[in-house]
Amino acid sequence: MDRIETREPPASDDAVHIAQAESRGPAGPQTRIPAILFWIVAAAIALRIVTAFADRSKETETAGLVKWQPPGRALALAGAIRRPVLYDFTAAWCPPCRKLDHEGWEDDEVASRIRSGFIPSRIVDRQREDGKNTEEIEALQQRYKVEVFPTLIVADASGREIARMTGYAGRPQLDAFLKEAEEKVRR
Amino acid sequence: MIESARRLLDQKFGSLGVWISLVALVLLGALLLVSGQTSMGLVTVLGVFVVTAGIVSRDAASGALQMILSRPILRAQYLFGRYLAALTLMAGFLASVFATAVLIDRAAALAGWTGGSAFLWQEGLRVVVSEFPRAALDAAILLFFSTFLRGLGDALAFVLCGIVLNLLPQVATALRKPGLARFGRRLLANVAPDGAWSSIFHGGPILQAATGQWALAMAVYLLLASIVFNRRELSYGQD
Repeated sequence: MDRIETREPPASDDAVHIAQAESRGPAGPQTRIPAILFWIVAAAIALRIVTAFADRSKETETAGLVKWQPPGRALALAGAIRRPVLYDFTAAWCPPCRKLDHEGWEDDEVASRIRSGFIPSRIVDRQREDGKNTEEIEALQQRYKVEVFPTLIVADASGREIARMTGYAGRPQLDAFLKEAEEKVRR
Repeated sequence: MIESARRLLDQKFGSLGVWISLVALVLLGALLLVSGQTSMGLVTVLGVFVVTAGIVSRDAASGALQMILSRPILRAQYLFGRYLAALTLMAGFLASVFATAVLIDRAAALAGWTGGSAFLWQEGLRVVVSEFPRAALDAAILLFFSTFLRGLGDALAFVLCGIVLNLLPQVATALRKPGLARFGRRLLANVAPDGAWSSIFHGGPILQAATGQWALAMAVYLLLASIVFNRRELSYGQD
């Protein structure tokens, strides 16, 4: 008598793969985390530390062709040579500030105008990066009620505000502001 | 990894909704650039949403993820393949925004409407290039959320976290809690850093604290996404 063979139908490739995957579970060989990812994290931590120190070691901000003075020195110079202080309240993350740097402070004409008429002082806000500003920056921002960046303030040696420009809408606005400030200082 | 990337590109290019959304965003972004805006802000974030939202969860929901992972590949390969594809799409999106802005500007010049044009192509190029690292970080955050949240929960979590992180310092300031406000600002700067890309692409120093914060956040989100995705139990068809 012939034997009747009972065979299971052949499993499809996908079904076999799924069964294998399920038997492997989440701790199987598929779940290895590439070592390079840990190296990238280590490199990022190192970069974070280096950049934090690099930022703190910067004493004064440089931008364009203007020679900026620290605020305390700017006020002292303003009293000594009887010239007003031009404060540039700015921040690293602020795109209009970069535009002002590029179109204003990197321009020969503007730089020479500032050299001859003002004591420039650049006040860089660090609130977003460091979570706080130095007391000196905080005091200046409060004194001049700076709420947006960039803000340009021209003040005399006693700190009295003479002229103000809020935001940056382009070179014509900067030229008009400098002209207005020069005229007010002359009066 | 390439296969995983190709699959996402096929999924996105095969969707009419994605095409319509991206074209609308490209036009909006280009108009912003032509009008002289120095940031594309929300347009980039929306572009990231269109490209990245549901990047893993959709495959998990359809059961395709189980099929893909039945092959002898690392889960990380699948994950980073998807991420690379999303970055490629975002690069293409931003390039399209720039190209469209140039075309609009040229067309306006040819038509004689140059009076109010504030578009400088170098500045426009800087804007789109500086948007890319931001988009890459947003995509990494969405990828992380997508590894454990269902459906479009990743996009929702992204929006909610953004609101909470941005509101915390303001609420703390209003409540006169300077310590909490400071903590909120630091949290925001480290968890969702903007980076100082505009400053860098205008010739500013690369080694800024903001760069370090961005790089660390990127690396941590990708590592967390990989860890969470590796530990996830996948059941065929249940997600």
